[in-house]
Amino acid sequence: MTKKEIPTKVLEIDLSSVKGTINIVDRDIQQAFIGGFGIGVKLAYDHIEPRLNPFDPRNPIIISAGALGGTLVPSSSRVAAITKYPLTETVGMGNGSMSLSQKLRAAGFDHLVISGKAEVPSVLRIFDNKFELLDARDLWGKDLYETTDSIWDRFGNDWSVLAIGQAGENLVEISMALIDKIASIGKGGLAAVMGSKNLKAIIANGTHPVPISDPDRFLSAVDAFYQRFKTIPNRDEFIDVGVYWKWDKSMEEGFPMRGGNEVFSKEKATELYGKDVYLGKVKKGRAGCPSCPMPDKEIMEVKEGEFKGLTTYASGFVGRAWNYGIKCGVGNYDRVLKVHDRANRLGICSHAFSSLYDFAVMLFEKGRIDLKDTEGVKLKRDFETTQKVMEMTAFREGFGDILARGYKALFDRFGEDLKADALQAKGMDMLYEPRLNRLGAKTFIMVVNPRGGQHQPGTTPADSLGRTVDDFRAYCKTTGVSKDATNRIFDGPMKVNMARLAKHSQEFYSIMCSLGICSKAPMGPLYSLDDCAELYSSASGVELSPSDLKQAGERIWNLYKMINVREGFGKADDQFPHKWLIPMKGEEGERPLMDYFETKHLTMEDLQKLLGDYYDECGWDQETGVPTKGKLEELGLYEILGVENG
Amino acid sequence: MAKMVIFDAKKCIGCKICELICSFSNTKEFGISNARIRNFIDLQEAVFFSLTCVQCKDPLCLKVCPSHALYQEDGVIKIQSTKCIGCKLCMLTCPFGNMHFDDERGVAIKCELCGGNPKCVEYCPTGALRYQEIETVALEKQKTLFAKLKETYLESRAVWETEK
Repeated sequence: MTKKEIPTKVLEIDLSSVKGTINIVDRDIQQAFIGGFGIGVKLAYDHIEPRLNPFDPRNPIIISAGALGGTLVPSSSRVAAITKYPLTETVGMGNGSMSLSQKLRAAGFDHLVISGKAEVPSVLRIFDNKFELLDARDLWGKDLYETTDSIWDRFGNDWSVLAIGQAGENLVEISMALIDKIASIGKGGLAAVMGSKNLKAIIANGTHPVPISDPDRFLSAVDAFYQRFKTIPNRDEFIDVGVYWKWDKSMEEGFPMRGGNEVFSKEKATELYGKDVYLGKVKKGRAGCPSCPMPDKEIMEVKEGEFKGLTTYASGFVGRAWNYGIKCGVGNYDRVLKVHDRANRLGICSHAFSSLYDFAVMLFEKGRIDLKDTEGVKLKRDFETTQKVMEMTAFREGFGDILARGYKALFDRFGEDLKADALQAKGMDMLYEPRLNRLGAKTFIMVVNPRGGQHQPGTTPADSLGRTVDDFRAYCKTTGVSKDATNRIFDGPMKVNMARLAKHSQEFYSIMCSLGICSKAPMGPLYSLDDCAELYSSASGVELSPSDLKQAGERIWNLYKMINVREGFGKADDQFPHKWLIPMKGEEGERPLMDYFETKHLTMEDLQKLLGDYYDECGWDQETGVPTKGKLEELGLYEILGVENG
Repeated sequence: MAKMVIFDAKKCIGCKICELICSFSNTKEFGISNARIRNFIDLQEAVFFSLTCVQCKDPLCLKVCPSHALYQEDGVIKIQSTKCIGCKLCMLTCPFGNMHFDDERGVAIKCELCGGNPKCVEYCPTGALRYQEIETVALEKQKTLFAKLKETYLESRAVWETEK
């Protein structure tokens, strides 16, 4: 008897003609690209015409549920959104969670390819093998929370809602969407691409059970993982306080401020935004995404003062405190929540806005931007001005119109030389700072990530300070790094070559995103390549060994890279911020750029050497930073894609 | 005293693992409509609730069933699917909405406590679900109340002693 294979279904929708087609992904493609992000990349290769304007109706939005979405596999709710993003003009993958992946699969679909433009503002409703476009003119102009609430009032809150705010409607390139009001997705303007399509929301629900090919084998694999999960120390503490369980560690690293020139005072950070403040004044509750036993989603409420009763949402309060409290200087926790709430409602990315605003204030202080440029708004780090400029950005008024288009617009308007002072890659802000948490794979990858300065594909033990060489060896073993590659990674004066390691972490990240498993700590690092292979094979019926899966991860990342090479990106775009080379000033002295194990102060020459190591490890050309024909051939990409070599 | 599935709202995070494992252990696939336990969410209020059959002592569902598909065994209300005629009267009668319906098979479905080892309890990551005798829970509550009353009593006794 042949094994039951679970088909992967793609719904292609043309919003202009309101027509759709349903396709089943070929088995060969499924085997080559796994599911989720991987098949999404293949769909992007097929559907995104090169060099399109991101707001061209032909630019599709590809929504891909992970291959294990809707199942019991812990933390398997990740969903990918691939499109040509306006902020970076790269073909990127945004990744979110909450219930979208589960509900898409319950509706009978694994992937959506949405192109065209709806005639009027609309909501795309996906239910039980069907879709319809609902007139949403009444929702246009409403904020993101109002939109979601209105949809839930009409259909019930068991519907998954991916919605945009006014920033998306106004094509703001630092916009993002939220799933179920709480999980962000698509930094860099997914919301703007939706806005350009007159798409206010995508909503999904259904009654289709998610089938499993070999239930007994699958449950054994899940159980084995659960046993390991139960060994996480302080599990209950994480459930109670989330990322605050590592507050002391965060303090050790510190929070950058003033355009990344200084480190915020540790004492003040603890006093204003520490664990006691979180527990006593911010926390209302914590929510898990479907199947996630270790939630990082926060429900937060201001309990006293001017904004008493304000309830808002985020993946962790610490990040918002850093964004608004520290970078924008808005003040206490209640003001942080007030500004963050507004950003969520407008559908503006908090990380992108706060980084950009902090940078703009720095330029204003230096006289590179003046009152004429801002039409009389004195840029400063305080509550009132931050709010005002955020509104101007969302509605593209005055100076806000420049911020709405991100770093590239600032460089265009005020000088390319400003790049030297900016912490960005390909136009996207960099969330992590290697002068504080040392150059690990996560900080390195922000430079080479085809999407722009996004860190997640660099997830390794280096995400936090204090790990040992053995921790990295264990990571290589569990993620299937070959013996030869392991030798290369550990051969060198820096103990661990983070650039070479990044090649392997991006592949493991590709696998995890294809399965839809969350890479974030504490759950992500518990997964091994063997777990992934066993869970995927037993669930899908498509048998992939750990080494097949590892190669699929590499294939996915290479195609992702090649799509962006097709867009015109190359080595010249993989640029390290010069600012990394200037030590940050802190209470305990200067914080220079060093390698993870602090063997030396890094120079630009060291960074370029690491970049060469990365290309070498990837099998990419040293001169161009592009995958070689030999590499693409080795990965079978010419054959799979049906294109001639060359 | 029979055990029952007991839910603690203070510990629930709305992860839906109870629904997922319930559906899977009954049908070998993941469908919320097949789950015998359902998790409800009010995000704004940060309130999550899981609801399932409370195994009534004198069950209305059983009384109303015209085909005698429902029966009680060791305090657990069970369904003999072959007898179920899909009339849904049990669903209409259950005061808690804890009877469900399998559209594909055309029969009513409900929590039968997984033969004494409820999977939702086993997999609940936070301990929001427990499988206990209700008397044990009542006793725990009484002990908590006793501790509070004791404090108050000791304080007032101290006052009396001084006044003497």
